[in-house]
Amino acid sequence: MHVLLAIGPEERHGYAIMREITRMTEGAMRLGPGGVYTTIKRLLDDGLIEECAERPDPELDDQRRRYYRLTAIGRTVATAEVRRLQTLVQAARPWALETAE
Amino acid sequence: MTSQGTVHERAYRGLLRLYPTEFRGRFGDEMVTLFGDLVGDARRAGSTRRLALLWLRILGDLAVTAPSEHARRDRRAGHSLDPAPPPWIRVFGLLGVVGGVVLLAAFVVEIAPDLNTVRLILFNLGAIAIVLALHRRQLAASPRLAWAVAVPTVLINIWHIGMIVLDVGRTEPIGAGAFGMVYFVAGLALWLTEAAFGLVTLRLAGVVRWGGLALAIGSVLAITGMDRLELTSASNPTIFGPLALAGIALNGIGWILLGFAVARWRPSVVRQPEVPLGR
Repeated sequence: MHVLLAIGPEERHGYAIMREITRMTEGAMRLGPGGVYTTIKRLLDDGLIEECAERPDPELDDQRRRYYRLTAIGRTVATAEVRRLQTLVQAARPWALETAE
Repeated sequence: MTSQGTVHERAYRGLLRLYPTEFRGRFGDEMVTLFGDLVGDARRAGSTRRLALLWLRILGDLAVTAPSEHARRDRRAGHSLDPAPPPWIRVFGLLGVVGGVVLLAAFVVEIAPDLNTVRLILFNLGAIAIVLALHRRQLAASPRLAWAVAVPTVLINIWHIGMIVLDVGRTEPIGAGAFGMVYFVAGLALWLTEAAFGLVTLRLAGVVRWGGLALAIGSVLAITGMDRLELTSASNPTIFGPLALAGIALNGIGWILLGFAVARWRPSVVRQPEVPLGR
């Protein structure tokens, strides 16, 4: 889920995905290359993300980098999951979050 | 990237061998690039401690994700939508099992000379069957190695069968004279190619790996029992006698394991339509 959200509406490579996850979670989650690419593989196999056909300009970026983006199904899954979590957070707010604040 | 960075990347690329081959082939370059970025970040921070912490993190990442990727691949293979191998693969697998069993049979029962010829031919046919049955899987793992071991193993087993057939009706012992020398070379080549085949089979996943290991070790040990090497003569008892016997037994066990692995049949689950109750 973190990788799906980190890719979001953009096209991102592994390093950008990793940095975005660290930013989103305020450093609480730090994936290594293995964590990033085993997840990317699973998401590719499940059809939730796809590899972009265009390769980066060799003068601007490393040609070995591959960029990934959400598929239509991936976007639907990410949206559904965010909605589910939103509902969960709203249900928890009266007691769990307000007492914590 | 500096030379130090390259050293780090080379070390990391070496560690990527811990992942399954197909995963490494697909994502290896990207992972090394990403790792290079992380090394660059640590170096820009100018701290050796950050570099050491990065390596610790990377080793932890490898320790968790490499075994899980292996397990995931094996699980996926176990739940493949193609549960039953084609009939010819099953037949070949069973022939391999028969080959291994007849090789081991000599340890348990006295084999008559006439039947011994049949036993050796069955052993060679079983070996050929397994090589053919596993070839497609080996091709997927490493095409060049697959061809490099399959062709000689099949040809030398055929050669060995030829030698056994030519020996039928000869009155001299099989190891005597020029014929004996050719038979010795055929036998030596047989064990060597079967050891190589076993080693290449180690690259495959699952039970077949154990079969490949047994085959590789067994075939090498079996060489020590060849008459012309004179390591196991009755007048000079050495450790090689028991080693050679253990090798032949291991070789037989290897073919049996490989035979069962390729012939294994998993029935596919056919769901019956549910009938609503009370109607």
